[in-house]
Amino acid sequence: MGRGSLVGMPVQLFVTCLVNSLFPDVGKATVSLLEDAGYEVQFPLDQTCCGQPAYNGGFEGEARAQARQTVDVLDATEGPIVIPSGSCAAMVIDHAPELLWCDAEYREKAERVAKRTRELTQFLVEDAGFEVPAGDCRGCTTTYHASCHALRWLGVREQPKQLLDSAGFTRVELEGEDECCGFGGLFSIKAPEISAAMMSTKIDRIEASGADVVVGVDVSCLMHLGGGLRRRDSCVAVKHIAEILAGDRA
Amino acid sequence: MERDQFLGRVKAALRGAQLPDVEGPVDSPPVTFEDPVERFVEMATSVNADVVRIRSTADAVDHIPASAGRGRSIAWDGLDDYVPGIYDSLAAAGWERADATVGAGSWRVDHQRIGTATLGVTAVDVAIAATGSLVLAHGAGRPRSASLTVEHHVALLPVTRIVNSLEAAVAHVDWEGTSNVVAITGPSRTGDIESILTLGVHGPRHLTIVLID
Amino acid sequence: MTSFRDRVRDAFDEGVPVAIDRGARGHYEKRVQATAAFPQMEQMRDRARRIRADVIAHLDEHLATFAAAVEAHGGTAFFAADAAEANEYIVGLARTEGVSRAVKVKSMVTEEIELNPVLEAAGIEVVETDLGEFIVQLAGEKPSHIIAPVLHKDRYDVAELFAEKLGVEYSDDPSQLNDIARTHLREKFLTAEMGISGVNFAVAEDGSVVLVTNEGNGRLCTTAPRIHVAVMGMERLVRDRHDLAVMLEVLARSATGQGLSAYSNVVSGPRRPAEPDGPDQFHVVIVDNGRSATLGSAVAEILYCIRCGACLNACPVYRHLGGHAYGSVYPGPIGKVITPSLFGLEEWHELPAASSLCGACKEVCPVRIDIPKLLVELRRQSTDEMQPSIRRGLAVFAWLSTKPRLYRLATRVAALFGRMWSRDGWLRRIPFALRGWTGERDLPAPAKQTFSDWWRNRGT
Repeated sequence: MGRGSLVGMPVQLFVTCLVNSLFPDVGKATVSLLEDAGYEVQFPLDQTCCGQPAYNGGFEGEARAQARQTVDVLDATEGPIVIPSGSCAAMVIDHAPELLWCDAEYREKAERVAKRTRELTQFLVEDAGFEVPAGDCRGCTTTYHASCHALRWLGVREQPKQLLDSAGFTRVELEGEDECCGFGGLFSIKAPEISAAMMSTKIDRIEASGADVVVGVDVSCLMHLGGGLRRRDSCVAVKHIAEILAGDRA
Repeated sequence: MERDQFLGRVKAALRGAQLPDVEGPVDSPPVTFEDPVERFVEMATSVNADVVRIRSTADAVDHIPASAGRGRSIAWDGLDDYVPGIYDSLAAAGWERADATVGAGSWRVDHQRIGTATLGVTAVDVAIAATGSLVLAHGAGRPRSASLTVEHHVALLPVTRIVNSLEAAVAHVDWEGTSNVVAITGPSRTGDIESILTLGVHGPRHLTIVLID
Repeated sequence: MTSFRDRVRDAFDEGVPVAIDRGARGHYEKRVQATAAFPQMEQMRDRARRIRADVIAHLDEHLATFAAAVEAHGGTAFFAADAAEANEYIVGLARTEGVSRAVKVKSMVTEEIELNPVLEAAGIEVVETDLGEFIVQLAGEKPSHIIAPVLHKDRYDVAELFAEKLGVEYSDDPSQLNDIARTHLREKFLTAEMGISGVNFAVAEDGSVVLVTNEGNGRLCTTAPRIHVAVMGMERLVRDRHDLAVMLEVLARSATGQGLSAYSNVVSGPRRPAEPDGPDQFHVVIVDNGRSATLGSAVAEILYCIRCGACLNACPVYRHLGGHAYGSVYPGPIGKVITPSLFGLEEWHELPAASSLCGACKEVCPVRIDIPKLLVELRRQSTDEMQPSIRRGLAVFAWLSTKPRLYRLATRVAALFGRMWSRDGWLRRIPFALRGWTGERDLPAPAKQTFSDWWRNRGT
C-alpha cells in the first residue's frame, strides 16, 4: 500500500485523448494502480486534449484554446493531478503556463495546475512511495524505452525502471534507451522517411535486447513502435507501464 | 557599411528583441588538484606528449633528440635561464640554430629556411594541470615557428609554473606585450579520416615536455 | 533547389553512410565521458550561457569596443552588412596586395557567404587546409558536419582521391594520408600571401580573435602569410579573457570530448615590431548577413551558438540523415533554426518541421539553447505551409476540445467508424492526410468504448 491509503486522498486523473480513444485499457490500469496505492481516483468528465499536438505543430491559437479548456477543468478540482503520459504531463507542466503567460486570467490558473501535476511513475515512486503488489507475468523479460518528453522535460527515467524491478520483473537494459523512437506527432507524417528510419533503428535494438515486452510511459511512442513491430511480425509486445504493473488486476 | 550604420541596425534590433533573461552564475568554485604536477603529467601524457621529469638541469640534455647529421633547430632566446649551457648542448648534439626571423621583403626565402628546421625548443609561460596544456606567449626572441613548423617541439617547464586550470592561467600571461598566445595540448592531431587519430598534421608530430623540478 | 523531402528520399535511396552515425555517436560518447570527468561542467555551462546572453543583449556596445580595440592594436575592422560586402572587401584587399594564393582555416561563415568562388573568380587560388575541408575541396563536394567535414568518407575514398588528384602513390593508411596532406599543404602555407580564418571567439576587451584547432592549421594560416583576414559572424563575441576561459572550457568538451583542443590560439593584431614572425596586416571582417534580423526575431536565442556541433552528434535525425540532405551550410539542429532565420523561412520552412522535438540537442548544448522551443516558434510562423487537411483537422479538433459534450459524442462516433474499418483492432490503411503513417506501420483502431464512457458506466 502507498501513502494515499492513510487518507484515501483524491487524485485527479487526466487520462489524455489518445488513451481515451485508442487505449482505454491503459486508463483502466492507471485507475487500478492508483486505487492499489490507496487513493480515491476522480475523473473530471469535461477533460479533452491538453493541446500538445497543436502546440508542437505551431498552431498557437488552437493550442491555447485546448490549454485553457484543460486548465479550467483541472483548476476546478483538488489534489494531485496524475497523467499516464510523459508528453502530456510535460505539456501541462511546462508548455501550458508558457502559452498562457500573457493571458491575465489564465496565467495563475495554469501555474496552479502545473504545480499539482505529475506524470504517473513520478507520482507513484516519489509522492506515493508505492510498492507494486507481486502478480503474474513475472516470467517475461521487459526492457524500458525512455520517452523523450518524460526524460528530458520531466526527468523521468529511473522511476519506471524502479517500479518494474520492485514488482519482480526481469529487465534488460535497452541499448540507446534514450534515443527518440521517431514518432514526434506530426513529424511522423511530415517526414515519414526519417521517422521510419528512426523507428527501424529502435526496433532493431528492441529485438536485439532479447526482451519479450518493451515498456514505456507514453502511448504515442508505444503506438508507433507497436505498429512497426507488428509490420515486422515481431513477437515482442508493447505495454504501457500502467498495464504491465496492474496486470490482471485492472 | 559604415560602422555607425551597422551598429545602429544592431541597436534597433535589440530594442524589440525577445531575448531570454540574463541569469545564472558569474562564478563557480575553482578547479583544484591535490597534486597539480601529478595531474599535469597524467593529462599531458594522455594527449600523446612525452613528459620527462628532471631534478638537475644537467639532465635536460639527455632529452634533446639527436640530430641525424647536421639538423637545424629553432630555439627561443633566454633558454639558458632554465637550463644553463643549453645552447652549447644543442650545438654539441649536432643542431645548427636557425635564424627564425621573417623579413617583410624576404619572407619567401625566410620561410624556406625556417622550414628546414626540424627541432624547436621553447620555454613555457604557464602550464595547466587540468588539461596538460602549455601556454606560450610569443614575442621578441620567441618565434611561433619553434612550436609550429618543426617536427619535434621540446618545451622546458619549471614545475613551479603549473597552475590548476585555464581560468587560473589567464593571470599569468603578459597579454599586452604580445600579439599571439597559444595554449598547446599535445602534438598536432586529427581524427578527420574515420575518426582515426593521426599525429603531426600541420604542427609538430612530437612534443617533449621537460619538467624541471 | 530540390525540396528537402526529395533530398531526404535521395539520401535514403543512396544509403546514408554508416560512418555518419558512427562518427556522430562517437563524438557524442566522448562528450558524455568528458562531462563525467569534469565535475564543474554543469556550472560552466550555466556561466557560458550567461556570458553569451549578456554579450548578445548588449551586442552593439561590445562590437564598438571590439572594433576600437582591433584598431588600437594595429588591425583593421571592417563591418560587412551582407555577404556581398564582405566578399568585396576581401577580394579588394587581395587585389590591392597582389595576392595570388590564399590558405584558409575551416570557417563556417566563409562558407555561408560563399567566399571561395568569389576569390577564385578573381583569379586567386584558395586552399582549404583542414584535412577534412582539403579533402572535400579536392572532391568538389560539400562538408557533411560542421566540425568533422568528411564524416561521410572512409579511408579508401580519400586514398583514391589523393592518388587521382595529387598524383601520389595509392595508400589507404590514415597515417600516410595524413603525411601526404601535410607535405602538400606545407608548401601552400609557406607561399601564400594571405591567410583567411574564421573565429571561434572574438574578445571585445582587447580586439583579439581566437582560433581553436587540433591540426595546427589555424596557427600556420595566421602566422606564415603576410596578411591575415579573420571573418566573423557579428555575434561571436565575448567580453573579456575571463569569459573566454569559460567558453573554452565548454567548447572542446562539447565538440569532441577533449579538455582543450591541441591549439587554442589568441591573436591580437599583426605582429609587434620586435616579433620575429607573424603577419604584417590583420583584418577582421565583421559580418551581419541576416544576424541583426535574427536578433530582432523570436528566435534570437540561436545567436548564443558557439558552433561546437554537439547538437548534431546527439540528434537522431542528423544521425540517420547525414549533413548533405539539409541542403544548407548549417546542418543539424542548429541548422534547422539558423538557416531559415538567416536565409528566409519561406524557402526553408521544411527544416524546422523535420524534427521530433526529442530534446537531445537541448540536453547537450553548452550554452543551453532551447532549440525545440525555437523550432516550435518557427513552425508558428509557417503554419500556412502545413497541408490544409491537417490544418483543418487540428482546427476542428481544437474547437471540439472546448465543447466537452460534443467531444464525447465525436469520440463515440469515431469509435464506431473505427470498428467498421479495422481488421483485428488495427487499421492497415488510412486515406488522406494520415497516409504517411500507414505507409510504414499499422495504426490501432479506436477502442470499442472510450475510457470516458467506461468510467461513467463504472458507476463509482
